[in-house]
Amino acid sequence: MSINLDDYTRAEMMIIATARQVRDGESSIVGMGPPLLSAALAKYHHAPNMWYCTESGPLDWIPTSRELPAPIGIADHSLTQGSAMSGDMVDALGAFVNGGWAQSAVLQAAQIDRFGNLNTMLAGTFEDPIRRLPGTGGNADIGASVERVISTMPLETRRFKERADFRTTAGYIDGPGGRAEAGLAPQGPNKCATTMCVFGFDTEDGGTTGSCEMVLEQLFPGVSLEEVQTTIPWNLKVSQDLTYMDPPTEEELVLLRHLDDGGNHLIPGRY
Amino acid sequence: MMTAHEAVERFVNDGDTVYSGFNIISFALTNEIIRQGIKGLKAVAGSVTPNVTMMSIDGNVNRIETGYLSGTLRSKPFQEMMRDGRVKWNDYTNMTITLRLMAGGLGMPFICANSFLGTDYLLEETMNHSRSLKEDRRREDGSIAPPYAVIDSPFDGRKALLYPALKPDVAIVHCQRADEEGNVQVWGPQADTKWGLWSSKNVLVTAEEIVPRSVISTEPHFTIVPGFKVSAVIHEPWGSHPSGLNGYYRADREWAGLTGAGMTTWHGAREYLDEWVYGTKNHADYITKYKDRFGEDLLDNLRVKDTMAPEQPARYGWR
Repeated sequence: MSINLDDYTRAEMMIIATARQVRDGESSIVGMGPPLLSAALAKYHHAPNMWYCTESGPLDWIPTSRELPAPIGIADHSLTQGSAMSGDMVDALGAFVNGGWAQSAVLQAAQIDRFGNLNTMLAGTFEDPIRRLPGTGGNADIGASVERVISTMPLETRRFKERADFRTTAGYIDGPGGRAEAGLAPQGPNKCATTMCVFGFDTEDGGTTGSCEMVLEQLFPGVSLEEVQTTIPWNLKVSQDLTYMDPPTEEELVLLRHLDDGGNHLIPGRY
Repeated sequence: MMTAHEAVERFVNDGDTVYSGFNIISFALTNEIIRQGIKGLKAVAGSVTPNVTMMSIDGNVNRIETGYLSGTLRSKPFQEMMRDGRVKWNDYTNMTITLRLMAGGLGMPFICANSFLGTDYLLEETMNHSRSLKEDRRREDGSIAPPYAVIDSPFDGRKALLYPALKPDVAIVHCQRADEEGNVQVWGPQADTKWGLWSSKNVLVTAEEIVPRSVISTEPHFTIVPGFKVSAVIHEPWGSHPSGLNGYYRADREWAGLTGAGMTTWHGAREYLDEWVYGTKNHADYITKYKDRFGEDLLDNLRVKDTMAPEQPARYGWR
């Protein structure tokens, strides 16, 4: 199959950039929606030995066929095709994640803030929300215990906040020392992959030292620094080693479009 | 063995706390609760699903404790009721609801998890917001118990977060198969199902298939609660339609879309409930009506074809 490599969307690039953060051989808890798609792409593409688990209980999903589309929900029936274990939430979020066996998490959120805290609860204030969102699902459970968080969401001003409207999932909280003060273990290196770029966080030791602020690390092809800076409502830190991310390869794009199952995941207009 | 009608009449009362199911939903029992006009239920589950939206429209459910509103917010009536306080709730997580059910099942007063450390769940305005379940948490001395609490561990002095046990009055769930004694067999991702059943005083189960005890006993590892824990077992083919059942049928996405679309407005919800819930006698009648309206093919196409039967089934034996 030959495809036009210049013809891809920013949403597709977001999924590919998210997948590129997933490492081969690591154990990962994967949230619903675009994270399931990104992690499936990583598993098919460069991380065949990652442990792919979702919170409702399927542990170590290995797709039985390359013809299968990526799962959409965390209890998708296709996740039992090739899983090593079909457990429950106590196994997945309890023992696997809180027990300290999950090396990474791939999560989506409605908002992220300057210190990497995620919000899936509401926009506005609790008493008078502009919009109530579904709630945390397992994100809060995961953010408290996982070694490293890869988050993903479109780059839009309403999603990137100096302080999240509601912190459902702890990142670095208010800055250095925040996690320790709250009673949480260090975490990182965290990443946030968007429709324009990839961010990291300014801390070498999981939140004890450094500013713990979001740092622009990689721009997507064709995206300018100014475009990102004008979207972010605070004075964004930019890495001294800022680079451009490689565009999608043919293999990544072909795989992604197959896994997306005719656009079931990347609903146009939403991402 | 009884009918869904008898089971709901006997075991579901106004004001009960009901474990409403996470990923194996009994729409057969959901519809029956609506038909019988049970009022003021509190729905609890790691995630609540569109069956809870349906039960909220006529006030069958008016309180919720959950970690995730799955699909329910597509409903404008549901959003409106959350805003004006007709639906009250407190927020938890997928895992902490599961652990709270587990604590209830194990007879523990509370359970510990660190999920809310460093988050806004610990703010007073989150725990006791104006539409929260403060009244449900009122103690005998009149004070309000918190929905969860941070303590310093008596063992090492570190912060620990406690969540109270959940003990629902009744659980409603669908399963792949059960026998007449009520031994419930489930496979596939189970989320919080097992602990929803162990923690609930009464357990109502609709089963896709009723099988002899001898079938149960050849694969006892699929039994999630034993028969004595189950108050009513009901034979209900297509009992989780329009949601799916692992190994039997896929979710009816078009129909779920119709249901969801119905629930998005008050008018749509009224029409849907009047036609498909109040307008049917029971779940078999609902399925017959569906076939009459849309033809047999639509349902048949949902049946799972590749059932992945084991080449080497588990073997038990002792001599």
